[in-house]
Amino acid sequence: MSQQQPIPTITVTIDDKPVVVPKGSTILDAAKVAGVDIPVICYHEKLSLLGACRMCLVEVEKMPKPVASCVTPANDGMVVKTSSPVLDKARGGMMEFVLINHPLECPYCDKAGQCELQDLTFAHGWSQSRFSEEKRRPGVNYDNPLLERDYNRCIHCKRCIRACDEIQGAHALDTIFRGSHTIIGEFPSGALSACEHCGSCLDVCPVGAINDRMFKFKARPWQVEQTVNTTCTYCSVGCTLTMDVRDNHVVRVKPYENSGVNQGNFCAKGHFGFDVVHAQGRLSAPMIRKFGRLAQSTWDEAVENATSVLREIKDKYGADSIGGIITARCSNEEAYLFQRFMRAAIGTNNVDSGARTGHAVVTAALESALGVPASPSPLEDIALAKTVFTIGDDIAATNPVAALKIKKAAYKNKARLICAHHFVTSFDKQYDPLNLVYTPGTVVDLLKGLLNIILAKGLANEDVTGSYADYVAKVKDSVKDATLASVSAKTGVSEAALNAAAEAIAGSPRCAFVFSRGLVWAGNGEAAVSLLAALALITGNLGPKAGGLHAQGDKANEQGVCDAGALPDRLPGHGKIAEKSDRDRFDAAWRTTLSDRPGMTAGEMIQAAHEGRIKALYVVGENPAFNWPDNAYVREALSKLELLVVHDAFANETTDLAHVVLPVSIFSEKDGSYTSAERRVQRINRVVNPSADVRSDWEALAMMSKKLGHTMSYQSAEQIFNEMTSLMPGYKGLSYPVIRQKGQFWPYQAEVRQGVERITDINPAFVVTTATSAGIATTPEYPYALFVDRTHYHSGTTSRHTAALGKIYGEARLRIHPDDAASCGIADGDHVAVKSARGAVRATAKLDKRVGKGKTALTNHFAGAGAASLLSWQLDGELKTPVMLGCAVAIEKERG
Amino acid sequence: MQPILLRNIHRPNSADIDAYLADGGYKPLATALDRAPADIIAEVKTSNLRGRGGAGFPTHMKWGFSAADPNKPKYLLCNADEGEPGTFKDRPILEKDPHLLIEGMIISGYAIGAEYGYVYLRGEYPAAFHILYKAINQAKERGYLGDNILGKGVNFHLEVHSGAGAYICGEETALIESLEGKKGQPRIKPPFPVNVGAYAKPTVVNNVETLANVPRIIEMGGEAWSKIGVENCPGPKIYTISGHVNKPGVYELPMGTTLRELIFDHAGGMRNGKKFKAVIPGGASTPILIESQLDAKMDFNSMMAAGSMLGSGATMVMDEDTCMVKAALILAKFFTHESCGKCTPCREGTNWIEMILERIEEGHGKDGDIDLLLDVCDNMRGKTFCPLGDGAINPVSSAIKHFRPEFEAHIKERKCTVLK
Repeated sequence: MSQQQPIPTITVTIDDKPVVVPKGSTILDAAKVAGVDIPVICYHEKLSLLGACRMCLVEVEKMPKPVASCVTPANDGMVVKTSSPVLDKARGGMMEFVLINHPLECPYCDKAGQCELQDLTFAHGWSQSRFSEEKRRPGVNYDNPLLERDYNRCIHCKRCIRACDEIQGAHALDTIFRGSHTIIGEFPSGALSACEHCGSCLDVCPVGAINDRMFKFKARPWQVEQTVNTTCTYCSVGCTLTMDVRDNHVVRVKPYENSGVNQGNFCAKGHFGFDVVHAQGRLSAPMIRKFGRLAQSTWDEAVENATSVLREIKDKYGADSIGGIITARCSNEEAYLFQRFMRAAIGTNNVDSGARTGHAVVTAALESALGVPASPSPLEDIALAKTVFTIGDDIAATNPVAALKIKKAAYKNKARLICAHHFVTSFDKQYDPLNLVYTPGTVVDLLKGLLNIILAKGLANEDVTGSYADYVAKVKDSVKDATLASVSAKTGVSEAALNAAAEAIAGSPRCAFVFSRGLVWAGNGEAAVSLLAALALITGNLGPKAGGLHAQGDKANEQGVCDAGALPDRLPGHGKIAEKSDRDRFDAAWRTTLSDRPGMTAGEMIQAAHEGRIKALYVVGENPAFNWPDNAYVREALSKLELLVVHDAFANETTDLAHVVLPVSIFSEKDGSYTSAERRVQRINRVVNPSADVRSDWEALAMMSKKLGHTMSYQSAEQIFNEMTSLMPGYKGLSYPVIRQKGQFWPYQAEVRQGVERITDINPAFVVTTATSAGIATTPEYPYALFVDRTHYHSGTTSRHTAALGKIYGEARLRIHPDDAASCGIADGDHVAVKSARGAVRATAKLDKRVGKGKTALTNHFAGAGAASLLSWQLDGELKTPVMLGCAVAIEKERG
Repeated sequence: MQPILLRNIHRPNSADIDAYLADGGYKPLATALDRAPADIIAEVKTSNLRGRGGAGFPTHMKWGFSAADPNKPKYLLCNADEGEPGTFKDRPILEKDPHLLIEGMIISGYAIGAEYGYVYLRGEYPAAFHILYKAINQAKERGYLGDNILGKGVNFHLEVHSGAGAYICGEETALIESLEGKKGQPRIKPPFPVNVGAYAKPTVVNNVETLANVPRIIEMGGEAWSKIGVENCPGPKIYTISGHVNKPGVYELPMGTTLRELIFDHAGGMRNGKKFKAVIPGGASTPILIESQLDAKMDFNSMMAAGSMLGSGATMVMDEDTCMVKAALILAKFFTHESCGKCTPCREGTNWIEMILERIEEGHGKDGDIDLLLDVCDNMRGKTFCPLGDGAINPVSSAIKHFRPEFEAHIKERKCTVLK
């Protein structure tokens, strides 16, 4: 730890009590230290200071009139009174002013019981109002599908405006009109609103002026039976949230104080996507395929059926004819149990996860590049950065709360944003980033180019060039051909922009590097991650006070499933299958003998199924028939299987092909742990009970395993977690009860009783790679390049079942440049047919300049309209990642 | 007294640079640029010039704070948002002698180290906008504005920015917000604009009349200038008088002229031989004074001692036929309309006061309404975010203070007893 400068302090007397506070504190800060409660309305600890409600007035000696304590700096020797006859009257008067136009709707206002104004009125208000005129009724606005904006109840504290501006950066809210006519709402509202539906305004509103339309009239706050903290499982950020429950129903999601990586902030999915648990179409009973159709069965029947066929196949074709794929949205315990089931009960290393198109590549690449199979930096480091470099994705769409850290850096530190992507990202709207819009498939060239500029200009961090001279020499040699002119020509990024980006990255005292799955999807992801790690390292950003390298992913537990060993060549804790010493530990623990042959990756399993080498697939929560490229190919492969067992909560494209379908619980119905992409291991907790015949994945796996003769007797997820911490070196020391209170980072340091947030003990190695991505070749028949798009409203195929998110984004949208749309005769909102060599889908056109000319983008969430179905099947590199970049398509307006 | 500030306005084409030059214009600039900036500030200190926008803050102190701030660039803003009802003292300068203001701004900018200036002009002064615009261009052409002024290595760039009609933008921080393109609402102080103002840079905001005095101070010398008017508050002052007098208009007189002199000697006394009833001495936001206070001098200190404020020096005279309830209501409506809505007491209080006054005026007043009005005023006094709230209660509370029986009669008789 570096020696910190002592912070200068001052002494302030609050109500006769002297307190010592840091210089720069306000009177309100000092009062907090003194334990004196000053009433506030417009003040909110997360937001900038406004000083407008005048509720926090205090008297200061030698000042002629009361001052607002929230905005008045405390000075040394200041003597403050927070209570006096003058102040009591001032507060009563202020309450009266607030209340004269506030409607008496407490009996049916959603906020009653948790309303800050009620509390303040009780404490400081007068029992009678002297206001005999008619109250102002500016009305209620329902333009927002998720939020009711009740102008009548608004007390003009402007917390919502500040939250929207400062936290979310959406700038959707403002004051409209002036004086007593002022209303605060979306401007403009309706279709043109900039609202991103994060619910920040809702969470900071002190009264019932902003209401959750999903929650409205569902329960009074005192009728909420239970309030359970848990972790959002929509993406890899791992936001902490609280769910309110009534009658075994989640009624709403709220921030859990300001805790967790998200510090009480959310995206639309986290705040409003909780209703997926109660969605229509949940599978409620096991099903077995009989006479070609899925028919309801009991658990015993289904397990018996699946295990007997598995046993037959194993006997007939061997254990390696069976494969298993688990979703990267399952818990650590489920991933761990699944790989144990596949390895010990079935006897094969053919186990992989949905992270194959994400963190399976990222962890492998980071392990070889830095010696750490994970993102080395905590997300909060982004917020401290002076420069942020995002690459391969629009982080605001893939990981919106990680993007909040970027926005915080931009707002608080005036950080420079550099966004490299094949589109202009959504940061463009507010943050004036330097956009490096590169030709698809040239991300490796771009990174090499940036490295070359930095090394050639001598801009690399001197400490790094000193300590890692060999490494730097290797990088230098590897990128020497990536000259400015050649990279500019290849990537389509101007030489000036490349130079500016390189200088901004290298010249910044703290540059954060942020990426998500998009970097892997382009093909050659290992090389891209490795080069990005090199860029972070040689600019000195992997040290203790640095911007850091931040890998994010689509699915909540991408890091966790890899840690838990759902990889064909790795054991839990990243031990190697090929390594006898690693296997021995597990052989002993599981009383078995593990196969030393690394198994197939998920992509290879699909391919092998197509070729008839894989006879049975066990799929937990993953939906390869929709999520993976070339749906037709995958469907053919799955149809050839002798047995397809699928666990899922909903019927989907993969369960449609299954022989045995098991209905399983959703994250809010079960216990367990998740590891976020920053290595923060956190709990999910059972919030509501699933219906009678729905079980958790791990219970189902334990039943199957027992039938196959490998007994895994666990009573709870905690037992599995404890087994994991005893066997996985990185997780050693983590405690299941402790992570319920507060997530812990792995690796855990017993000496200081906490996890390592920032891994600075790295072992860099530069792996030279020459592989390049093919990019997308358009043809006269298929003239547009289509990319798999992301939106912050959806994640995978789970979110298609939420009613709330469906109200905002309920159908597949094809983003297309207005000029291209015009040449196709397409207007905004038109239905279009998108055709590739591999298939055709329908979508609604959404004109968007940011995609650029000749490029289009389609999400992969909605049944029958997924972008992945249009791609062709291609496995990339040694890690056999399905290439998900995009393909050439033709676009036509649909008639009628 | 011979006019000092307004001496040029009656010349033909007075807004033209040649007329200004014929009057000796831009000579003080040449003198000033040969002196050190600190010397200019010292000269202004000698003159004891106090800000003419209404607060009467010593100009040299404001300049000194900004000049001492190491941050750059610095800005000089001219507050020409002359929105106080009854005030039209800056208008003759803006429309008839714009070069006086421009010269004042160049010298002031030089003194504080600002190379950029803006005139924030009242939106309802379109004529002045065009006149200023033209004058600025003329000054640029003649080398008085821009880079290397008069070959002396001093730069000053000036723009005129038209407001959009909000009274609050006369408040300096709201003016800055508006100038930056945001909604005109006041900012938290501290930090003060002298350190963190326009675009978060050190910024001096001075009134038109204040800046117009600067060339005269340079010309006459601060010592001579300070001999005009009263001690502690010297200099010429432009008073504007309106209402029930025979000769309403603009009068440049020494600071400290009494109300009686202004009304009866200069403005020709009461109209139609009516009796004097009340006067608002410094614009709509200042407390009303009555006959017994007419010998009060119109300078910052004396007006304060009399229980009112000099404000902009906009004197509004009311005769015996004026209903004070109606007068208070009209003023209350103005402030309700102009309250920006940022802070609770002003947003809610101005509106409530208007409602109560309205019902008293309409004959629906209730017992206790007068005390309620005074209590609402008390709940606003000194507690609003910016001075607009205090300004809003001044006419109401002072009208009740001096004319309470009239209010009581309105409530009791359910009609006005003054208006025949």
